[in-house]
Amino acid sequence: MSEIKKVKNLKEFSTSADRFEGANLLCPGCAHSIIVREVLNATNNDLILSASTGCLEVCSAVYPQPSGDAPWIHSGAGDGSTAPAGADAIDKALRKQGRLQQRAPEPAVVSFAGAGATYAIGTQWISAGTQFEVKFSKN
Amino acid sequence: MAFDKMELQKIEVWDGNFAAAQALRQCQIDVVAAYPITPSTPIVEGYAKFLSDNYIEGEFVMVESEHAAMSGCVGAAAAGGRVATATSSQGFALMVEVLYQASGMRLPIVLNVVNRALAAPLNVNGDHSDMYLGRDSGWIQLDAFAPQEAYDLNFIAFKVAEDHDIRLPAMVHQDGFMTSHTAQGVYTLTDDEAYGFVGEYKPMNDMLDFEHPVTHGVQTEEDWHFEHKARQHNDLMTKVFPKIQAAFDAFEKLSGRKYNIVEKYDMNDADVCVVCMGTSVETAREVATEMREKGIKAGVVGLRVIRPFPFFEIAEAFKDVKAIAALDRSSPNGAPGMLFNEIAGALFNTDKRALLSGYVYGLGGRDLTKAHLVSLYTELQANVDAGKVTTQLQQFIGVRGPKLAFL
Amino acid sequence: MMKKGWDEFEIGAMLRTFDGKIDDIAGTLQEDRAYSENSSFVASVADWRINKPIFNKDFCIDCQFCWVYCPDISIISRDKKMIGIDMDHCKGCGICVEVCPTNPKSLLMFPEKSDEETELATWPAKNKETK
Repeated sequence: MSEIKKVKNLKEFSTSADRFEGANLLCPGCAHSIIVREVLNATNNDLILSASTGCLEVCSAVYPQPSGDAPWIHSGAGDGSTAPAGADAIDKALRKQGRLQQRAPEPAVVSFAGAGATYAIGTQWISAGTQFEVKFSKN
Repeated sequence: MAFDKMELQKIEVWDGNFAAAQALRQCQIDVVAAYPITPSTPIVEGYAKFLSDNYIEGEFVMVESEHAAMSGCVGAAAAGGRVATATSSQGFALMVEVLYQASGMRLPIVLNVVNRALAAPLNVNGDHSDMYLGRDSGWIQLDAFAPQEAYDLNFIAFKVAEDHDIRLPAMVHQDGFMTSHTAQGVYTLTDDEAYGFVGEYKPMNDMLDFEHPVTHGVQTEEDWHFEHKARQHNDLMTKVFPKIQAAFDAFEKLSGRKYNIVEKYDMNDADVCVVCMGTSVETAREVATEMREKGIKAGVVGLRVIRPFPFFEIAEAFKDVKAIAALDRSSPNGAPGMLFNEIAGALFNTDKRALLSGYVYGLGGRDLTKAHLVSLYTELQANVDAGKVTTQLQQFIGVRGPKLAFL
Repeated sequence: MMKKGWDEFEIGAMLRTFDGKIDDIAGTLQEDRAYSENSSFVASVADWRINKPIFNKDFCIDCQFCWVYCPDISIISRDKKMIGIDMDHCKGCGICVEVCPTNPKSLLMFPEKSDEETELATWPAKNKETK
């Protein structure tokens, strides 16, 4: 399980080292990245990030300069839940086999939906995401 | 925690599905994300059973559709592990979007496709419609004609797909029911032999390497997309065949079973030949032998590798033959069949072009009988004698009603 | 960045954010990270701006509202102190000005071409409390 870091106040929160970068292509003032920043800054764990096929994906994962500072994956429309679930499944399988360098705690798996990518082309196939511990953030 | 090994007989009586499931067990798949569909269900069911019985240490991701199944596989493969799944027909069609993602992201997933017809009208039996649907998806496609080959080709598929020079996903095709549900004797490998052949999975650009964060599945527009697609095509065209041949050679050394990119039967002195895929190859071989007793020098060519298309091997196989029948088991819906077209392409610039005619057969699991093949070979011999194609270029075999022929 | 040919990049359109290895990324500030050319951090969206924010530290109380609300990670805050604006990544949206609670505001929007020193010298005075 991933851990939410304990933050007493905003000043303390502001010492976080951001893991989402500027010069992404979201519109000026778009709240997507405010949310992404706050979610990612809430933990010190390793992260596996995913996004549905929506604004966030097409604005922050553009070749050759994406904006995430953590392992990041985007798969087909509707698969914002299953692609990270697959990644988490590998993490669990390799831990079970003892083949993965045992890092504690386990990575936090976060999937972002919203902006046109919540239900149908977002996290349509959600049961795999709940079987493996994917955290969903709906913008 | 450790898993148990399984003692196998030298020859087991397995159907194609169980043979594939056993191959997945022996390769020690880390993750299967799957959604069941007839006739491929027993493959992933078999994996799940082996998992629950502690013959594998892995994870089974239960999803809500084939689209999600392939996406789970994409996520798992990108994270860095050995990944496989199985599907058929409509499920395969639903997967198609993500098939392109998997190959474009260069993830070595192995997909067992148990070939089945595509609706409408709905049909659960075997034809090659789904196999044809995937042919531009950038995957390697291997074709098994029998349960033994469904078993063996899974090892080949992992060996080739996971090679760091290749890193392309691979499909292993077998015919729905005719292969998947027909039990035959299958020569086995021991667990150690099998795992030794495919080797331990070696991660590449894996997401679980948190010290080197990677981004997978980016967006590229007109300024980059073409280069990436060109790279993938280049690697399919130039790198895959040598690795497949090397894997075939290594597998022959291990098992004594020899595979070829193009499987030729009695082709050395053949005048007429049939080229087809799946279980029909075995039927055609039997008929070809019988035709020789009747004085017709018949041969058979079976495609072991469909993608990448063995352009030069095909031209080589047909260099001395006089008449060829290309048998397509998928409705071309307004065109000559895929095999007809691609073989024509392979032969067009050769010095000696054989007479080529196309046949559409076996849709929705309709049997291709020996009688069909006898009259087909006879027709080919008539073409040879006349020095031209005496029929129309595209004919339907085994369909009720007035004879259907076009072109 | 240079437009590369088809044979000059990693297969699978895979990109790495950093050059070499990075330990404990959550504990490493941006200035201490070795970003590769494949991170948007090394790019600039400065040309998107019509108006730009100017920071007047005389009135700033380091509340960090601007830091937490900035969508573009452009408020540079270190050791709980607001120290400036990252003008390569600021898109000029003005959220920082909206959320600034001081009176007068410590951040104000000005046309992109305006001169920082002139604007600071003529910074608005404190507003009278209104009810």
